[in-house]
Amino acid sequence: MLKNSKNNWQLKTFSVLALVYFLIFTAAFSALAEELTADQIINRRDENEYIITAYSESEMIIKNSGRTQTKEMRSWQDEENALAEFTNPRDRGTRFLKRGDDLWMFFPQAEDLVKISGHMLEQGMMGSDFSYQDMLESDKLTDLYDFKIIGEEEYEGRPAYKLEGVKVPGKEVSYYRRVIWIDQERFVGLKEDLYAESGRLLKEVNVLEVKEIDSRWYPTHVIMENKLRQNTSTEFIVKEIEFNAEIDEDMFTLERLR
Amino acid sequence: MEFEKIEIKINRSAAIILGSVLILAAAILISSPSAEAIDIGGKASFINYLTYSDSEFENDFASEVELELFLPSDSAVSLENRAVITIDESSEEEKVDLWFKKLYLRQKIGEITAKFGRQPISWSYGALINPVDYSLGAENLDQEGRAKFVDAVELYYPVNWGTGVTFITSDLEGESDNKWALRGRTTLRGYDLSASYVKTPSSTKNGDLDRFGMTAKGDLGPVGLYGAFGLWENNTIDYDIYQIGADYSYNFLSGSQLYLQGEYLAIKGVEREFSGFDFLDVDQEENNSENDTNDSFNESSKLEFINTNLSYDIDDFSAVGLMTVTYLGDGSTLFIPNYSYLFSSNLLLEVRGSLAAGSEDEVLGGDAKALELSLSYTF
Repeated sequence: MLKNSKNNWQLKTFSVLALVYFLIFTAAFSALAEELTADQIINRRDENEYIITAYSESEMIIKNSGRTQTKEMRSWQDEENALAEFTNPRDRGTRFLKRGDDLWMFFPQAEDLVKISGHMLEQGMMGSDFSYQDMLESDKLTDLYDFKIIGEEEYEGRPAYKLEGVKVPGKEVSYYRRVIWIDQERFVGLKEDLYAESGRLLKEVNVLEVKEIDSRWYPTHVIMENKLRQNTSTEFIVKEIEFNAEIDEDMFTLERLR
Repeated sequence: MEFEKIEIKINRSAAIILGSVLILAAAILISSPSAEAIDIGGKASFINYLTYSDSEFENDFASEVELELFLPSDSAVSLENRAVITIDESSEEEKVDLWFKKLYLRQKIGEITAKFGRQPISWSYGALINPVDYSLGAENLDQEGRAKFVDAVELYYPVNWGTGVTFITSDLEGESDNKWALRGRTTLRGYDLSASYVKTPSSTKNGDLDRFGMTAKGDLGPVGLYGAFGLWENNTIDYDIYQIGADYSYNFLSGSQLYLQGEYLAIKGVEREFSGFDFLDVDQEENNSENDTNDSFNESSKLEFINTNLSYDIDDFSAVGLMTVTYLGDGSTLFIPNYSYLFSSNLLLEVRGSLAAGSEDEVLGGDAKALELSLSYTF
């Protein structure tokens, strides 16, 4: 009986030690695994947000000094091209096609199909704070910016990595510098500050809602504020999105734009 | 109390066509059950025209409703339509006018996309004045001028994503033969290029009008560039047309934008008098009369114009702009200021003026001034 008691005690001690050892080992391994580089963090975010092909329906709410205009659109995208069509009454039938760095627009009233000059890409799309470049930029961020981790912060209750990206020389981008907060668990963007080369803060993007769709976290409600103008903002709401959608071969053609 | 009887005349054939469209749309809906419903949309406008000419001031009002049936995207037939109902009390003809901007069927036939019916034909490439468009005429200068909407058959054959060939044939009022055109369009190294040929039959002594045209549009650094070359020939005219233009936009850090555009347009070979933009109306028999003499046009003259457009987006809801057309021969200029204000997503106020600067005998001169105010609601 005494021998059995001694064996039970040894067994319990061994079990407790094994459990403690396991917990220590797991914590250490986790710490090692989560020490990601800036590029790794951005790439994991791109795995969520970068689009190979997609079909989406979305809404833009443009606000300025108490006035509001709402635009609705549906779009098809692949890695290099995008076709979007506006469906709200005032812009219904207006379409644009992006192929590489070129933009064409279709105006339904006279059924004009016009190539848009490159300098117009910096313009706000249909009057919004999102430029055509913002909306249609399809390159991966790691190709356009050099990123580094500048801290970890909590944003809206979510632990986040804080990264800074500076434009890669020679690349055509809308903003010289970006500071991004990325959710540490979901690897989705939570906030982004966009700067000019002078250091001036141009725009601030806040993610109001993210959803898990097809096993990826995706920002579905975003608000962009132009920091150089008071009382203006543009909200972008993704109402529906289908990743890896089957897209017709002739989708990104001038014929389809007509 | 007696109410003044308002005379209403509606084009009978247009009314029949509208009724047929409604019946056809209903048939499509019934035969092609779809999760999408038929939707009706359009625009209602109230327009005020103020004109001052020959020391007389006139103030006219008009109302306009545009209606469009949006059929389900997966319906068996693709029918594009847009009807316009105009109520114009000042009109000397019909007070209530019903016409169609669009009423055509679109059908894919093998590789070719065909359109049959009333449709807009517009070959825009960004120029302020387009001398190589399918339809000519001063009326056609208006982006949505009625002359753009023709009864036609269009066949489009795509060669690749950015290249295609278009054949168009349309009826021509007063002529037994159809007008027709062939146009090719392609993209080369980022430049949008087109070449076209238009044959306009004419039973007058001027003979058929042949028009060849080429356009190019692209970027040179931060500046957009475009150009056109055209040849117009019939029994009495032989015009060479050259155009070159550029556009540029400057984005202020605050988010507003300034847009600048300027173009040079030259027409060589004009041998008659003209005023305003009627040099575009080449088929007017009286304009090509052999008895027409003008000392300043003893030799073939070159008409030269400088056209500019300046537009400033004040904010996301309002914009102001000024377009000018200057005839270099006498310096006369037409100023076209414009302003727009968006009250909400669908309620828009537009103001457009027209002011001629030049004496009465100058091409773009005169004392005529006009102002058009339009309040429109899109639904």
